[in-house]
Amino acid sequence: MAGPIEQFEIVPLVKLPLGLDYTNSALWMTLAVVGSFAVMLLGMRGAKTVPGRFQSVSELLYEFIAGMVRDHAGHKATPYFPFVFSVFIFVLFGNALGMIPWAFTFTSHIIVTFTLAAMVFIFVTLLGIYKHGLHFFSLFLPEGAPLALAPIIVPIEIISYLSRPVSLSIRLFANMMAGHTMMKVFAGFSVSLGAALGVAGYTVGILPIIINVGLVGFEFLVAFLQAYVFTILTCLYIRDALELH
Amino acid sequence: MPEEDITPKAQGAEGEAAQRSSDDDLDARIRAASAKHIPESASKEAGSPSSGGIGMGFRIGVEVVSALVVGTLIGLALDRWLGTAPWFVILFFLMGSGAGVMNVYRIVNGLGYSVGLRASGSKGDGSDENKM
Repeated sequence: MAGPIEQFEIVPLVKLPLGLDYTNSALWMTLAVVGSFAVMLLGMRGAKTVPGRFQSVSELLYEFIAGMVRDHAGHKATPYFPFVFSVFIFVLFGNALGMIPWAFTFTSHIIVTFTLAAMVFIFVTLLGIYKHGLHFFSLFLPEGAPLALAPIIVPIEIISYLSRPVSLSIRLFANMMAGHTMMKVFAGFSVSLGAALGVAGYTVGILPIIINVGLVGFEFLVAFLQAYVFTILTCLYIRDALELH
Repeated sequence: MPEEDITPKAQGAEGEAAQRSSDDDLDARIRAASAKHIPESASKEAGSPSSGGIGMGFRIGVEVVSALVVGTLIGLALDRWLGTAPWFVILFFLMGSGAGVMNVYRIVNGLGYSVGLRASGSKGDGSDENKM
């Protein structure tokens, strides 16, 4: 029986030089990109007044993110809609494809989520500097704070600012990893019950399976919710960079 | 300024305002009014994505830990660079814990995610403290 952690193993599928192997993680990222393109392109092909299935899905996705950008990042942020939409759909597909049995959940690896979060962080910082120039750095000294306290406040604010991508990536990675491990632990529990106690074990082993049914539903919720949270925080950061209060 | 005079009356009598101002002016004022309206609806909306106590608790834990990690890493890097063994780690560990407490303070008081102590976008009425 496979251990609960083995599902996160990176396996090179195609060996390439310089360690640039095409891994199972890369395969599922490719599938996420291809899948999101397929959904959007199928939805946009032959658009009708009364939408079909794919058109409904792509319109829902579009309106959902457009509303989120408008409400949480402000109307000045609409030029950055493509960026926010790409981030959302990539994370959502990563989380959702991971729910397929035997699939690999690439968002359960902190290096993947940290790279995504660092991308958002660098984008938002450059945006703020581009929009406000050096005035952007006034972010690190709250208005009205006495200058004598600046040596303490400024490093604390900088650390607080730098901790954004870390907390953003830890939140997504920890949720996905914990959920998938828990599902595997419960599933493995009923198998080992059966192996240890025979028929009685298999009878009692139904209970973890029933719990697992609930967990799978919960994981779908988490898959969506974490993509949502990741995106909404991106929106809030963009708002911060644009408005600077 | 004449436009300033028209605006309050226009809310009462639409016909009068339409007579006095051209269509372009009306368009501009509608756009200005709706633009003014958007942030207000947003600050109310911002409170909706709540997921109860567990989500809130988890979020606060993540914020504290990430600030501590960043602070300690900066301290370690500075120590390695300048060769001042434990001092920068100690200093930046304390700074990091300060930043972690600061993050939590902002979340709990509904100040949003902005750096600094100012309210994030909204007027800071505390209505969005369940934000996740």
